[in-house]
Amino acid sequence: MFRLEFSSDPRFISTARLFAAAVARYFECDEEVVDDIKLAISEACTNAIKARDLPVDIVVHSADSSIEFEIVDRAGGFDETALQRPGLDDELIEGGIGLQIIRSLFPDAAVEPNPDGGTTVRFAIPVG
Amino acid sequence: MVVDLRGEVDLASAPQFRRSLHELIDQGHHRIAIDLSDLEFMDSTGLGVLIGCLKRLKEADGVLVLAGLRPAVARVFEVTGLDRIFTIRTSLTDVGAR
Repeated sequence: MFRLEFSSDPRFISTARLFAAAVARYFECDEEVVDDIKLAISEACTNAIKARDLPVDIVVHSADSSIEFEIVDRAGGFDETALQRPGLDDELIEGGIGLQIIRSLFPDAAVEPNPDGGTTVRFAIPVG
Repeated sequence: MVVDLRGEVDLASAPQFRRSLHELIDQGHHRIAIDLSDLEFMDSTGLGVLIGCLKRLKEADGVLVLAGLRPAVARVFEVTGLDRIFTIRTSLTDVGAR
């Protein structure tokens, strides 16, 4: 298992991308997949940081044929329907399109509320 | 006006990017070309800035051209379908901006 915890500061999103890319390369993912992972991580961390000023965790679990990324925030959860309204307003797109991007990159991505508050975004990549 | 955008655009850097573009528009620059060939990463916060810029320029009968997108940057336009909204060129020499 690989894990990164960071405080809710936008400056650490680049660190989160570096961490995720390093883990993906450790599992010998193609560079195109590494780019997709970095984008999905950036979107999930952005949503987490914008949701609340609490630490964010990235946890990577490995299994025989896949690795699974979890981005866990301790915020109160976000209204998924509010994030999916169409539109081209910059504020709206900044808040709402992140989840759409993650699901476009990883169609099986899941967004789930945590039992103790906050939200977990989870997506898996086949490896090996 | 040609703008070189380098490095990475995310939640941390997007505010400065937005301020810079809006300052240019406020100064009367309504034909803007952005060279993205040295941009290594951009996520939806960067897209949001560009959409805000595009809207302001359209209202002013202006033009926004994006050029030189690396594959990792082109990907975010592709998955959002915004490659159909923006004018995207292989390089700025294609549009005579350089």
